[in-house]
Amino acid sequence: TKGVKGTPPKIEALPEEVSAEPGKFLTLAGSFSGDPVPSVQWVRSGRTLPNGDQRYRVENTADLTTLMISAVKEDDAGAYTLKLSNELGSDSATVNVHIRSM
Amino acid sequence: NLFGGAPRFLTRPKAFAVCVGKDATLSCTIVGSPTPLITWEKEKLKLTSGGRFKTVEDGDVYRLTIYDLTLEDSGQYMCRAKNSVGEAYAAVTLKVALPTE
Repeated sequence: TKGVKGTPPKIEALPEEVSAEPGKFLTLAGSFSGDPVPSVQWVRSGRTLPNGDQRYRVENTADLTTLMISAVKEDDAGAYTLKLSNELGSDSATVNVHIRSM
Repeated sequence: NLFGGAPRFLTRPKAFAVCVGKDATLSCTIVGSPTPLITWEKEKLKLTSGGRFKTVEDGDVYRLTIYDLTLEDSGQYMCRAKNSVGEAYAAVTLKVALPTE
């Protein structure tokens, strides 16, 4: 039998609290590790982003995931959870987004 | 361009040298138009030049140096880039270790 090789996913660094101004761009970058390269999901209120909302965009590389929100709105405030998984395990962490009033 | 001039990280913050008593430099490359203002934070405290901290801006490259590391310097550092178009956040985890004899 073949032994299991690789490492479980691990979020190496992700901001915990960020803030943005209405109407502006917000970019959040999270770095991670894992072998095989984990699958990446950004989840808000139980829904995987971008979830059809064209203001949201997610870009991933082998060790970095970036969530971009354009034209930030007040109801973008809240918890965004980054979830990683591969065949060896999973990891998750949450960013709290605050919207500053103008 | 989707971003307009919104700040973005071309290289994310990375940490170098992590032994007690040494200096560590966290470095990243950030672009944006207008040129973004960069701040560094640890546990919600803003870090500015002075004492054991030094922030340096060299073109698009921004660095935070922490001198004479102690174990308490371990933790997550956040870099925030902001201009009039938007803001970008990235973090780096620094692990300070005792020197191996």
